[in-house]
Amino acid sequence: MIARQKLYDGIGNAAWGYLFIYFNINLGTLNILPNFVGYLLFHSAIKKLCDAERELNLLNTLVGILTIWHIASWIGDLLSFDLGALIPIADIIVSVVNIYFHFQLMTNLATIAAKYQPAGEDLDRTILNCRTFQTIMLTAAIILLYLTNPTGILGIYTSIGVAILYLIAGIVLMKTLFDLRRCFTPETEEEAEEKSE
Amino acid sequence: MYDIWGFLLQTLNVTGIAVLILTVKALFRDKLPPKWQFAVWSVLGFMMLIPAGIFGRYSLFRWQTAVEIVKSQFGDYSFTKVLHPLPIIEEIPQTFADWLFAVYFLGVIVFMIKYAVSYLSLRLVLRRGTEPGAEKMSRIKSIAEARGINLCRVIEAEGLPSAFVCGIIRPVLAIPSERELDEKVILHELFHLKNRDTLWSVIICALRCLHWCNPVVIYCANRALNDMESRCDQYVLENIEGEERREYGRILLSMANERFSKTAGSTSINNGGKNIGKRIENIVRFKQYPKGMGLVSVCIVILLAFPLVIGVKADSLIDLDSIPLTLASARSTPCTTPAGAFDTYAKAVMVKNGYYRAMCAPEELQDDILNEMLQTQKWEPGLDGYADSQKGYYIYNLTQVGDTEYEALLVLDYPPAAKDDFSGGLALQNLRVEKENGRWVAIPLEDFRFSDYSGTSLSNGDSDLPGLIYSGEKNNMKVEFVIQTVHTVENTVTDQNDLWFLSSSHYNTVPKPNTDFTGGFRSNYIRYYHTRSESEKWSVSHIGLSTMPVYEGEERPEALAVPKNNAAYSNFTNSVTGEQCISKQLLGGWGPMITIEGGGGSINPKKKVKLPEYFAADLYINRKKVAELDLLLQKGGAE
Repeated sequence: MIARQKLYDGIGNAAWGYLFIYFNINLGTLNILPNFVGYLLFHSAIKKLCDAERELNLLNTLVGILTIWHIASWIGDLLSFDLGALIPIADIIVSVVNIYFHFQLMTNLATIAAKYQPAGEDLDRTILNCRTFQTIMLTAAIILLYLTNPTGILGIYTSIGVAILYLIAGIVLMKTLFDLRRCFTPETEEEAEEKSE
Repeated sequence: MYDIWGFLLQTLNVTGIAVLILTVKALFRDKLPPKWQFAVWSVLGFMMLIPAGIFGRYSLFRWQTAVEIVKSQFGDYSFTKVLHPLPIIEEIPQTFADWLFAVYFLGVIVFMIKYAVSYLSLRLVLRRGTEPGAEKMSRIKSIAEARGINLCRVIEAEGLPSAFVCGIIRPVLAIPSERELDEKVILHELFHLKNRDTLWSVIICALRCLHWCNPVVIYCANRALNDMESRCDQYVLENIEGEERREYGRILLSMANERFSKTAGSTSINNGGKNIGKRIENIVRFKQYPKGMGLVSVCIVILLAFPLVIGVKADSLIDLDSIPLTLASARSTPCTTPAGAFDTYAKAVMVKNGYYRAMCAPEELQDDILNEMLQTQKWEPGLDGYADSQKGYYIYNLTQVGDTEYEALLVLDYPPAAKDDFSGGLALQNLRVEKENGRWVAIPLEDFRFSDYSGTSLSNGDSDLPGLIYSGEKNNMKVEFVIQTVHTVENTVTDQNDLWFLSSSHYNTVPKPNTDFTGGFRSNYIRYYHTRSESEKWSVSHIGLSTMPVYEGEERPEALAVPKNNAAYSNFTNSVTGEQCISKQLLGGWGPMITIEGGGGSINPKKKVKLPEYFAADLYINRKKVAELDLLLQKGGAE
């Protein structure tokens, strides 16, 4: 039996991790919700959830790469240089790692949801829908940005459109993950005593 | 590829992409199935067919800079270009680089012959084969039918270490006669047949031939063939269970086919013993691939392919602290648009920068620029002083003179510092921009000439500057209809300041080799020349002109609109037809020529300026129509 506390913490870490991924609040060049914190939370979530879903172990290397890249990018932003433009090969690698990482993480979170969600709930389906939507949208957005001038009118509107859709998908995903976490709320001492009686 | 430099550029480009794909494959080795592992090679294969540096774009790295640097060490300052991925020798080798290319070319031929001989000898072995017995044939047919695979001709031959499929158009499934028929092996080969892997093996071997001296490409080709095998192993493993899987691994070990291990057009190509271990490793990993990864597998291939295919345009030169090396970098930063060439040339002149000039100079001038810079440490555009770089430049009267040729007048604000007697001045130069080897280059058509005129709003045209002249003459009355276009590139940069009211701006003098024109203005005016007697001239108190542009293939209009003859000045333009009526009341005292402004407006700077063949015109003197004229374009009028 996998400890409820571990599942509760793992799902919670993943949900909070997405907060850092989906939202950015900048003070000048300082992002106070840095992405790398999100990846550190994902790392912790993977550790806690890998007993429930073994495939999550495959993400250990990828989360490490993404954490290092986002730390470097965060420092780069502070110093006003674009790391992606500086190392284009790394930028491409990170973009494919990123899309795979989230796809598999959400797939595995959906599998956990399918196993543990209360009857009648559809949390796994919602997570899978968010996953599919995000993957298609990110791919389309990257293609569009390559085809259009990012600083041109079309590029700017594309970025705004993608950002809005991305945020909506993020909010839905986070809410679903917090709902899923509620399924693993640790028992209070009284509840545990009641059960033992 | 016509020279060794073209091949070097192509193979370096391919190497960069290969390294990227190998890295991505390493990251997803245990995450995505063999089907994806093989499919991702299509990105490399596709990129091997796209000429490196096409449209001035590069993938991942600016390999062109490295190639130009190496090339300049051989005293060759021509532009490296790859028009297609196949090597072609056009003339007898003369230089060391030519001979190197000849050796490379010979290598391609030798490797192609080697593969062809290997394929033919395999075919010869198969010719001695016979159709298998009824029982064997029936078993093979039932395996194929169970998987819905169309079976090809089957033959049995002696001396074959394993089964394989051979041929693309009429494939043959060959099975060894000495061995017991194993369903798993047959299934594996049938999947090769289904996936047309013999065709893929030919493509891979052909690409390997083209880059036979590049170890990274050879390694990738071998990996691709191995992935092709692993893909079929995966299919087999999905169709068998438990103990059979272990047995399949044992069979693989006994299937090493070293004799025909590199035969294009057959699936025996990769049954070499070295690769068996890796395939068994994949078999062991079989169950560990995460399920449901189809969508993301496709997205990853798209995300890998797109940046590579679209590429990035080189937009700035790299200062390498050495004149020859920086010039090599400049040559690898080509102007990819006509506007980019105008912009780069104008800025080269404004700041007297030889590197900028090399970016837009034709091939024949590159050597001169290098020598001038080596001798004097600078480059002189033909101006004693410096043009005012903060006032920018203007491209007047842009005209397309050929499919890939434009001419225009470059106008620079040029207050000669050495002369204190007047404050204003312009430097003018007629310029041609044309396409040379896929890049746009700027060629001055004359030395700079100077005007002491100081325009106040040069971006809106000015009647003191030249324009395109359409002229007609009748009864000693001459009329000129002058069109002026001004094209500009936005180069104003706002300097960031936290306090908005302290913000300032400056003119960016760094070339934009890939820019388009961002501003366009068209204006026109008419000139009336009175060549009759002075007494008649005094009697002219009102002039009117109606004009209608007539484009190639159009008929001359029968009647033109009448100008408003009761106004002191009137100007009406039909925005649809381009018909224009201008009239003006004259107050005596004018010289032999009078200019009447015809107005103007913004034009789409990206749209080609279409010039009429001629203007049909009606001339009115003192409110009476006195002549019908055809105003024809004067050659060199804009100069």
